[in-house]
Amino acid sequence: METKKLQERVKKVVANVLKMDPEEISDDANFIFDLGADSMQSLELVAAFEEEFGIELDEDKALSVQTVADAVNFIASYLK
Amino acid sequence: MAYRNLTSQEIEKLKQQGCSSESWGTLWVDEKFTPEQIFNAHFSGKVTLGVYSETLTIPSLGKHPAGIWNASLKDCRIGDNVLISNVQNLYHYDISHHAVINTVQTVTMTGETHFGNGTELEILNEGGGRELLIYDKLSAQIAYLLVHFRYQKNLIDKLQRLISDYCESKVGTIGHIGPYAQIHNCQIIKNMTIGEGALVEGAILLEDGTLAGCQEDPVKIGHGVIAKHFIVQSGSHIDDGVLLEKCFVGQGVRLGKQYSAEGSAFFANCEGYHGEAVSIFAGPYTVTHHKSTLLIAGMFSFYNAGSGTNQSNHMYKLGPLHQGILERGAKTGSLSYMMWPCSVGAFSVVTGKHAANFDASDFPFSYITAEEGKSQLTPAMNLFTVGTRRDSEKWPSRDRRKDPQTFDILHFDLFNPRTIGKILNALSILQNLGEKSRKEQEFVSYKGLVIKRLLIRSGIKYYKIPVAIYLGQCLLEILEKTKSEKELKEILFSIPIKENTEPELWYDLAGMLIPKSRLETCFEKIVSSKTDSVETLLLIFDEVASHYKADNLSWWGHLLKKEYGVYPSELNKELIIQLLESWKTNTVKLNNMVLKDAEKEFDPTSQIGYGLDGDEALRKIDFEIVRGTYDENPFVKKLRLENNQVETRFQAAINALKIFRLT
Amino acid sequence: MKKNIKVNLDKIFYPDSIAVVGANKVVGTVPYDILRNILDADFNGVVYPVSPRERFIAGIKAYKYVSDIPDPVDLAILVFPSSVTHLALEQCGQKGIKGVIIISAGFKEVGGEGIEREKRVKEIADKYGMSIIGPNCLGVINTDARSKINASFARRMPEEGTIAFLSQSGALCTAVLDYAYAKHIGFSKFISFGNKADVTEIDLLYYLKDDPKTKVILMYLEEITDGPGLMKAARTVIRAGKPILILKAGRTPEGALAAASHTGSMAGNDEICDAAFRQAGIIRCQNVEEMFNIAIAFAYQPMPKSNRIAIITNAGGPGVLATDAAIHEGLELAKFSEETLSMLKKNLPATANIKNPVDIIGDARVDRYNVALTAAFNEPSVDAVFTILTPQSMTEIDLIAREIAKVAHHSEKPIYASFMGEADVSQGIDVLQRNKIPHYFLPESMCRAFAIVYQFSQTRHNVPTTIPTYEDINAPYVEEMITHTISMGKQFLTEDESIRLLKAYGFPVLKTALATTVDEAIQKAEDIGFPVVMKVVSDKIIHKSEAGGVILNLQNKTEVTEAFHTILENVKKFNPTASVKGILIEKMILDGEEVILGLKRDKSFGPILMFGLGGIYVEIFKDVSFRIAPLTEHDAKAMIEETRASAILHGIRGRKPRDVEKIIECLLRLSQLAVNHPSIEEMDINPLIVQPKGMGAYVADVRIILKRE
Repeated sequence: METKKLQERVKKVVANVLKMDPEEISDDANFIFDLGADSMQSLELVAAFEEEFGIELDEDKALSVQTVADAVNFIASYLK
Repeated sequence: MAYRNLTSQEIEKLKQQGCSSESWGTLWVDEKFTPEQIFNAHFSGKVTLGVYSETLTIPSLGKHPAGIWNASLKDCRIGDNVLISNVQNLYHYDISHHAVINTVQTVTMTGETHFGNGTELEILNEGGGRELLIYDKLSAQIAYLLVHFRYQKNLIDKLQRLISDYCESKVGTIGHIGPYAQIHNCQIIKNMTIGEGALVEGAILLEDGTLAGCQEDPVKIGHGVIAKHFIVQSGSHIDDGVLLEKCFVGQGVRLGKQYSAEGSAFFANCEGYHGEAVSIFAGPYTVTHHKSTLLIAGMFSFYNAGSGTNQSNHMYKLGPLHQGILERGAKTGSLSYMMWPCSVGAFSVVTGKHAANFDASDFPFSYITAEEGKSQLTPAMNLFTVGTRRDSEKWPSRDRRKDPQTFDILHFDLFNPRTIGKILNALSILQNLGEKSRKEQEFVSYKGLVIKRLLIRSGIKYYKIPVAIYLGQCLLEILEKTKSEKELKEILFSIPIKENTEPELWYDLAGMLIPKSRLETCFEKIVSSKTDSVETLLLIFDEVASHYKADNLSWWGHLLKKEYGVYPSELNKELIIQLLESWKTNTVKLNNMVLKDAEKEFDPTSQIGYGLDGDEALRKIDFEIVRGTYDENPFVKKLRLENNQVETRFQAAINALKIFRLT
Repeated sequence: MKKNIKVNLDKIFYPDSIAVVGANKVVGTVPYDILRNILDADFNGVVYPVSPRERFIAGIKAYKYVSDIPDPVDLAILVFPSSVTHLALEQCGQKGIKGVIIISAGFKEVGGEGIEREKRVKEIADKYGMSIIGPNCLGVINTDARSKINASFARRMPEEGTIAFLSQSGALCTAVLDYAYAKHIGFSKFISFGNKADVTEIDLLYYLKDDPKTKVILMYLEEITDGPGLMKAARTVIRAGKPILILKAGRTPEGALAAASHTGSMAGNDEICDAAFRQAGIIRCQNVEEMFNIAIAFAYQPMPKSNRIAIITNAGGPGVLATDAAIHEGLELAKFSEETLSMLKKNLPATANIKNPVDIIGDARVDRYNVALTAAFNEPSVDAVFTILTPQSMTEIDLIAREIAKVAHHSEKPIYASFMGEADVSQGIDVLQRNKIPHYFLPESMCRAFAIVYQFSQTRHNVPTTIPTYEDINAPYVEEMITHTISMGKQFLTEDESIRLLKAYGFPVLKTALATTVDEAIQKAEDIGFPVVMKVVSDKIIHKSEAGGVILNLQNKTEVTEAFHTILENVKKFNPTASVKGILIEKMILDGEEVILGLKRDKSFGPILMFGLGGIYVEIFKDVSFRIAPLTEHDAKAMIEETRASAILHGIRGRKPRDVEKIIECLLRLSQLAVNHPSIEEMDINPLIVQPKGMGAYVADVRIILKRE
């Protein structure tokens, strides 16, 4: 998948879970620091990504992902 | 032992020493009796005295000669080398040798009494319907049957009959103070049986009760205690202004700091400080430490109450009828509130205020939080919190009971057929809910709870971890015990399997885990005419519990069939390796997630981690809990070490397997 | 950027503005609770919640980032998870915030990545000249009305007081706050400093030294990293008149594990801390209760001018107990003047005891207490008053408590009270506590607390600071010898090498000579003068007596010859591979007291010196003392006096006093040696034979162990 498209989809998911406007989410936003996600929401994000992309993510690694950019890369690696 | 009347010299001596009697003729003394140590004693009715020659060493008095000082006795039997000093009224008691009654206002009997035995507690249902008859040999398991299996009429009738008969046998008009018991500075002791070695100091009122006797693990009652219609088993300490009304206190319990309880039963190793309990069934390790904590009409075990925990059992419709069941390992957070009826699954945590009546018993290891007026369930969330892990490890080491006879049977395994069975159930419910839900739904509902749709998948993922661990663990334990292929085959073949049956339901009888089939056998035994006493009941349970390991393995065998399609006897090398690998991966995964949680123990944004354990962790100076500062946190260190050991055990097992052929 | 710690700490304790960074709305979470606590304590400044999501929290406008706050901020409290703390901290640095408290856990204490996180945090702090308390701490409380800040999870703000409390462990803090609250004990500042990634207890000690609100400092430590730093800071604070009380958790003793020397095996972790504290003047307490018993004595009442006390009691028994305890603690019962006695006689009933301890009898009401108290305070020979009360039915407990408070208020002399009992006297005790009269349940605790205050008042000015140094030493020679030995891969100096080393440092050594043949041995023995001692010298033989390599008291040529052969045989049997350098011939001292001087290096405190009388006193009674080098003369003297066996050195049972001056000198030289040569790991001078006064002392045996390569 093309990076730009992937990025858009990721942001859409994030916006959905965190109940924000996708426009407010910058490419390198930190989930906790910039977007205020708490640990419950972190779990929801993982589940939402899995559902959106039809993949199964490794928890440990998934929970270490800190920024939107990292998430995009991480998910991309599963889509190859 | 031969008794005689006093000689006239002895009477003269006694009179000189300030003693008097309504009639010296009804005073009987041991052959070897001498009057040296009897001063200012007034006797009436029939009094029997022994020999008072020893000097006793008494903790609060130092050395003091045995004897009677400043006391008024009526219809009593006083054993050898007893010290009775400053007792205004001592009526109708049998005082055993070496007992001490010092500065007590009144020790009397007011007629026939059962000493607390047969007291009926309105447990769980404050309005009645689950009455529990207490007696001094009650165990958590027997109590559980009485309270929960009301519909098994034959069983309940038999139990109640046996217990009533036993209680009748305890009837007496004479009170008992056991050997070496000590009673100091109390006000009123009425209709009591006080057992061997018990220590009672500063109590205000003890009425209609039994304090068990046990040299190895004496009962201690302390200052300001007021207790009526109650029973206390060995090794329990009740102190500091505790108020008890119609209560049962099992072994190794600690109640103190003005705890107040009514109509409640506390089993092994419970702790109650500062709070209140009404109509509760406090199974083993029920712990409540904080002021303003009320536990009412609930059932708990391996439980911790956060401060300000509260429930209501009134729906203002039919009176206080409702009850709550919290399965083992559950916890309630600070200021949490639940409106009964509710059920909380094993090892789950409840925080916040809940007005909905929910049933979360199908979901062990979960979080139930209050969000915008709804009770939200996050399944499996509590599997990898530090709290769960710590607690399950600390219980066995905190079994205080030193009495050679223990009443409550305790099984501590974190992953066991009941819990794993519940997890399997949860998995299928979640699967179902997930399939039925639509993508647009943020929440799904289930029995008064809401569950975030997205978290259903993570719940399923996480629940699979303990199942894999349990499957591999049992196998690993078998492997580690066998040295040869033959042995392994023997064990695997010997596991009892019932073809074409699902893994059966297991019960948690307030601390004891048991499969349904065996429980039914247990019922049969109880109902059978061969069972004719309460002592036999205990033996039945002991026998039943002795099958735990075998029953566990059998259940494991059925689970194996269900998950992998083979029975234990059909296991081949590949499958064994697969199971072990799965065990390894999942155990490490679980540990790592707990480790991650340890980092977040005070995770500021975790809605869950803090405010719950945070409260207790801060209050308890419990160094294994508290995050260390200089060294790595010892709990963290331990977990890391465990991960290493997992690898080692796995390798060892694989190596051992290599030499087996096993087809 | 250069850091001004004092200025930064002022920002932390007296901020005009606070940012709670990582705040959120959820009740019961740390960020919310901290914000709530700051507001509830009536903070005298402005609070800015910083939250990536919330626009307002608790009715206050919230900012998305620290950098969004328009005004300057003095103190930032970071409650973000550890994974993003550095991001928040960086912003704080850029904004110019100098004071930071990091509450979050997940740093060094969890190991692994946490260690990296903590390093990163420290780097940022240094980069921007910030001072950080934490991470992984409970926070900070300042009760000063100027500030009134409760930046912690403690539910309750403690009462204002003059006691400062510092703790490394969070768990103890809330228990201590609870305990103190029940007894109306107030604090000036309450600090949980967690991992001390930046600000340490040493920094805080210096800060509190200058804090006019703090009179007494209490500390709870788990482990000590910079021992000498702590001691130095403590001395400075104590010289400024503020006592330091310490509760130290004893960790598992690892220092006393298999050590090659005697000293090594005796100097356990806890003994060393004990010695260090004593040396620095820090008062060590066994538990929280004791700590507060002593703290309130310092905080509430003035220091006494002498240790002459008056005891006033309404019950004989307790009066006797108090007297016993007082004498035990070295206090003196003042002798009343005729004037006082006659005044008491006139105003107290005939059955009262008017001599000290004054027993005003069980039925005493407040008037009698007033008489006795007034008399005691006016009595010139009395410098402190202890009041004891037992609750009889007519005892006006409340009134008497108020009376005591009143009298104390008007007097320069300290007054302590012990209302014995619990239920009936509780209200009276409450009055006492509220009026800052130190109260004790047991007369023993009362006397002990007072004795400690008295001792402190006497000694704090006398803390000598000069470290004596000897000029007549040859440090380069010794350093060369050590370096050479280490480079050869050896860890032990042989006896003759050790003797030479000691000689280079001016230690009194016995005349010795090394002999490689029997003839040489005889020759040397005659030179030195009989009787002599002969000892084998070999790299491989450390415990010479065990190996049969030491023979004492050789009177003549024949014995020397025999001994020579015997030693060689014994040694060969013991360790056939040991190469023997020769036999050391040494003068034998017949009349002298044996003492042990030792040295061991501790990773927290540096060089530790040990002293003890030899033989059974050390072996069996473990009657030894420790001090941290470098030693002052006062330290050396104190070390010796501390041991119980030291009385022997001063001469008892007809035995003459020994040359203690010489022992002191040896200790000081050993101290200098230890400080100058860090490669000496352990050392035993065992024995140093001490002759009668004026006749010196001689090193009879020494073992030196060097650092491994």
